[in-house]
Amino acid sequence: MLRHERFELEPVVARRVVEGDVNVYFSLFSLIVTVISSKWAVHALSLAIFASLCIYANWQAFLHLLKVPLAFLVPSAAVLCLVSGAAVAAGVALRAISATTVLFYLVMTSPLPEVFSALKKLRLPGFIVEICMLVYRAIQVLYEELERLEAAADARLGFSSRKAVLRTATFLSYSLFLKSLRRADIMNKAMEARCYRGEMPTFSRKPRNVHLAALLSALLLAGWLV
Amino acid sequence: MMECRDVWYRYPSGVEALRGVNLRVEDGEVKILLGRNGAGKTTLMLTLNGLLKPQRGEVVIDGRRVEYDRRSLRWLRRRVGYVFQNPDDQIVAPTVFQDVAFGLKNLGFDDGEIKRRVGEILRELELQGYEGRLCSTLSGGEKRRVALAGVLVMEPRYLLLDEPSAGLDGVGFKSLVSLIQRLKARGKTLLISTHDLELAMAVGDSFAVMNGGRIVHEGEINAEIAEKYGLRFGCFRG
Repeated sequence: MLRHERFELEPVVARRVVEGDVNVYFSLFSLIVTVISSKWAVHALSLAIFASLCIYANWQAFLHLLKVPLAFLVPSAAVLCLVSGAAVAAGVALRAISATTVLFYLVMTSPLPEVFSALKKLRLPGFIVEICMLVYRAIQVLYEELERLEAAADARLGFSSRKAVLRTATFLSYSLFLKSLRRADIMNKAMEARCYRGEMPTFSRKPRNVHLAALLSALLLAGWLV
Repeated sequence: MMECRDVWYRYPSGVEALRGVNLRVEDGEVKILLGRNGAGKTTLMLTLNGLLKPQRGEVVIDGRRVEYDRRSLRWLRRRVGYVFQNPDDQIVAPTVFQDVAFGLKNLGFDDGEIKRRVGEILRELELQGYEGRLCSTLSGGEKRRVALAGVLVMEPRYLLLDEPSAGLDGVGFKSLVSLIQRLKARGKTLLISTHDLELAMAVGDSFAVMNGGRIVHEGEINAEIAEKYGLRFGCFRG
């Protein structure tokens, strides 16, 4: 499977407890509470809730994603432990990992178009949503083009030596730039052909388990306020 | 009726793609536009949809000469739907639902009607359940159906299909033929650009051959014509 496909497919294939726009609101609200709160109990609760949800959604993908922040977090916490003491290091690490887990939950369970659809309902200006959707679609297509170019170059030993890698990268960048210009022109024609006048439809799933999302959010809020 | 009268088009690069094209597509017919690569078929289709403005000549739809102001183009594109040769060129939105709903949303339909129409067309093209799928994760055949759905959902009276059989396997080809026949039965008028004579023979009512930016032949197609204008003519061989 291609790299970008894998990244894009995570939220599509993941098992979701909460569905629809409410999933985005739930994640964003929890993220804000986790980041703003300075109580370790809130961070621990947030970590417990969202790590469980991520494990339920797709535990392999979650562990795979977790490797990246941990690679930064562990050495940083170690340094902080030496400089400011174990309590501060543990507090910072817990806060960072809990906030990251909430973000991973959002990434793993909500495809980008659904995130923008939910944000549009929160009165995010339509033109921002429209631009984001078009850019996202353009990235999808250009990524596919890049994968094809890369495969074609690889099949003809384009990456066989350091010198070849450099030369191939130059060619690929040039070709991709030209393709992106052509793509912009074609995309414009495709939109014109379907009567474009600045409207981009949005897509969101039917809400599911709204009560559970509300309950978990209330728990976090209570932990923060009490 | 869809008609081109002495249409000329030259690209900014200097290539003269259309050189005095006269073509008429009668209501309810499936007209096949044949020709080699670079013959001008796609340019002619872009002209019929108002995406290109001819330097000379005129395009007439339902007896009305096409004008190129915003309002007239909106009128034109509601009547004449254009399906691009490469579905990736046509798909502009990230998910299937968004892309199929794109035209309707821009025509000002309300969300309930959009949902109903999108659901219907996805069912017809065997894409039900694909609403939330990301277009980048679809197969070539699925993308082609999404591209078709995005145009058919707008219910245009005239349909321009640019090389619709390119890259289709046997099953995809059969369902394309069946879809074209269904559209024809519903009274749609189709202009299909192709160099696939098998498709042409399966669905065509009348034929026109383009070469060098001109219509060089109208009428029946036989092995001699196919050979003369560089068409693949496997279906004429024993």
